[in-house]
Amino acid sequence: MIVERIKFIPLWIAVFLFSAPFLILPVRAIADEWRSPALIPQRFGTRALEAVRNDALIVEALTNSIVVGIGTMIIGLILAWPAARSLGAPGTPALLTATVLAPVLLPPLVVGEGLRVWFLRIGIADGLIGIGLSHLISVVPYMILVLLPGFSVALRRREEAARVLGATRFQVWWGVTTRILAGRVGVALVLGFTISWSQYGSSLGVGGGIPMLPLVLVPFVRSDPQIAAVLDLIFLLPPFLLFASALRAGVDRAA
Amino acid sequence: MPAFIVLGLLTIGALAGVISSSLRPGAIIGGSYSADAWSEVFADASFQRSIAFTVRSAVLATIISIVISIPLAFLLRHRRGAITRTALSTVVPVPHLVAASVLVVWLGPGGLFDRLGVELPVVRDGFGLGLILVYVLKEVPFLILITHASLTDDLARREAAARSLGARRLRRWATVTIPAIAEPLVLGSLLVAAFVVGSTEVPAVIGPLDPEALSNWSITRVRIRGPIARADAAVALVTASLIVIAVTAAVAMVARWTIEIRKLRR
Repeated sequence: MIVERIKFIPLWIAVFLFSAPFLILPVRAIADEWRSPALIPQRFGTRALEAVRNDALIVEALTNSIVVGIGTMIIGLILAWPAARSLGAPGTPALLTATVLAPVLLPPLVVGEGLRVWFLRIGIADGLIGIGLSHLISVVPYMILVLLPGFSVALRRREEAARVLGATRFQVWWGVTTRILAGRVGVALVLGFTISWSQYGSSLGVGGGIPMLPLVLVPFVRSDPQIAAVLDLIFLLPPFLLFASALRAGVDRAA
Repeated sequence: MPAFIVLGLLTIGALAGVISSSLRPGAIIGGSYSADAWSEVFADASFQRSIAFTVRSAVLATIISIVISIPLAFLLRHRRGAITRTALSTVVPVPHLVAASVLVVWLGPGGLFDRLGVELPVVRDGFGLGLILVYVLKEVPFLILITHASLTDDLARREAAARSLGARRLRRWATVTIPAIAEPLVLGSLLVAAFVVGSTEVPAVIGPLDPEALSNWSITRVRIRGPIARADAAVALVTASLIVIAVTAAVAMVARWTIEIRKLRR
């Protein structure tokens, strides 16, 4: 029994090393005074929270990131749903799926700088619409990846059964397809938002100075680590929502 | 399919845009074409260092992540508890920028390790150790989970069948286990390598100032020389894309050969 447990020690150490460092963030965020070489902060407070709330640039960045994230996840779902359905059809060549997913490999700054050239011509560079469009390159393939396994043979059989029983096209979509895929759609939406939320290179390239959360966070990492920690925690909210929704979807499926 | 059209237009548009920028020195829109920026940039020693640094970081981060994640995925296979998996899963959606920021709190000048008297000069170090550390910290849990997902009960049955047919551990590993985990592991590693080559935010926080990662080199070039250097910046970005495309093509070719060899064996 003990030998059996010893075997897992490297795994536990790894899990600790990979997840524990992040626990410093809440402490750093409320450490108003933490001078070296002290290991424990000298004074706790809400200086950084207030600074974030009162900084117009950060508030604007936060609003922009939320607006772009919501827009991107909705358009992403509209595009990803039919794509996942087509790619999920039996006999779809793997190469086609790979082609749809390949754009995520493109460096984000290439996406931003490359699209900027064309967006300047049509007047959507340096704006939220341009930034949102550039995010779609990363968002849509991942949303397809999440939705794809949902469009299985089992789902198609259930849809077919509903049609045979006289359900209309809308009834099949609403009563069968969306109900079965609800969990996946939830995960895909949060994933879409999270990917858009954390885009740095493409926002920098297309945005031309429009403040977005990742862009305003970087300078604070050196200049004011406490504010950076607060922004990090805000930055972590959607990913943890994603994690919780994925966990919930998993529990739903298991049930 | 609308997604094909949108993704195709955006991807080809982005690549065409950046290539076009690299061929039109000094002009965002319009201007005459020339390859001057290409010859100037490739002759620049800082750019050559930047390419070497980016490729080295990508190769090291990917290899180290693979080497650490495979044994841990196999250990996780024999562990039924959900806590370990859940703890690893929480790290996967964390943005790289947050991971870099956290590492600065721990390992940066005046950071917690510094206060404990343990000097680990990995923030902005010339070799890019801090940079690699961030990628390893973020990518190992990702690779563990995707590898672990392929270690199914069906695979265990096939391994047991091979054992009962007299196959030794190494042979079972080579002929049954590796082929089963290879596909997700290779695809995951490709994503990791592509991310490292194209990342801007992580090197901006923790990477060295010389040599810089390719994306950051392009930003610095424009910041120092002004908009006139946009073509130079575009050359660096096209180079980063070419590296990603070359790695993807190499992986696809190797995957194809492997499939062909397997078919021949059968």
